[in-house]
Amino acid sequence: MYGVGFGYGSAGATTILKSGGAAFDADAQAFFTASGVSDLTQKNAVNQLVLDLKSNSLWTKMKALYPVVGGNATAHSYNLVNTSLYTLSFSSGWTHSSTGMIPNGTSAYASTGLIPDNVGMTVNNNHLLIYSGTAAASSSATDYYDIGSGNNLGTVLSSIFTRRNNNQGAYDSGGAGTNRNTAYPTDGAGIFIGKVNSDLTSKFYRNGSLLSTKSITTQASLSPYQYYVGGFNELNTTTYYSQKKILTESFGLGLSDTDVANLTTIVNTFNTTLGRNTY
Amino acid sequence: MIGIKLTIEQKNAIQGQFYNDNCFFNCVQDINGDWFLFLSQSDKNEIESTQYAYLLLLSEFEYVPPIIENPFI
Repeated sequence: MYGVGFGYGSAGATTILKSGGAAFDADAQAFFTASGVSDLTQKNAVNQLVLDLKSNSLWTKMKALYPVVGGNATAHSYNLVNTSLYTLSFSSGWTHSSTGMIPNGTSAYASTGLIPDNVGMTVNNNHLLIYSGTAAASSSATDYYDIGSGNNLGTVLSSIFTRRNNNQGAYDSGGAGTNRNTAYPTDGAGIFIGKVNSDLTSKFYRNGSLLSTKSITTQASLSPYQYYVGGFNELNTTTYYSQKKILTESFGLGLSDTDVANLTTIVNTFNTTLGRNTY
Repeated sequence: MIGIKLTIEQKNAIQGQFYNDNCFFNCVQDINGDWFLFLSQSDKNEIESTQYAYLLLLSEFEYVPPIIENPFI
């Protein structure tokens, strides 16, 4: 039987413990403190997310993970892995709620401050994850990106998109001409993960199932430009705006096939606890 | 899509400016080169009590996006 326990810290401060009486993980607590998330269901879900990532050796592979919990821009801006790094700055045009955050597809994007070349992400060692809450193909005839950065030639490129107007989804690690890993999902909702390791085998997944595989060539730079979310950072100018709902996203080092399976389960469990899973 | 049409002076006054700790204005041009601002309902709720409340009184027009040349897919 579980209950909510209360204890008292120094100077009469009240420490609210998680259901069951145990304290929250220190990193989870840091997230709550920064983000202002106070709902106990949300806090327990985030705490379990942290514990699961750590017990599956995934925590240290994350450079940034945004659980998108709390229902407002402030709460959604914080990086679970390190609340002092890569806090999102949102442009006007986002809609934030308890079910996620939605860019308007015309002018809304978020800057991350995370430059892949500066954090050890390389063409042969990186992953991108987006849990999309939008099943439909993009209604815009203009191409879009869910996450992206690169130059204007497509030769320096790190990005992911789930389902464009023509049903194309893709994961880019390096130049599009040689390294784009393309699939045509019939459903744009779900957990999309793109990853590549030293074997230079790019893999693109949806809900833990492999969509496509591509052998790629290595490059000196993954991207020297910060990631934008909800759009593409092309030479530090925003373009290719998205209109897809975001439930969770992460950026980081390469993952094994087992890591992908575990991360998919962990992220979906988290979102299921919050009642907003898509499968 | 309907948006707030801005003069170049209005755009310059707000582009990149934060209206709270986490959110800033981003204006975009339409097919004719005119500047537009799009605000979600939560943006409007946030702005109405700030120095930027005047934006909520500006006229709205239909927005036609520019044609983007795609050097890559």
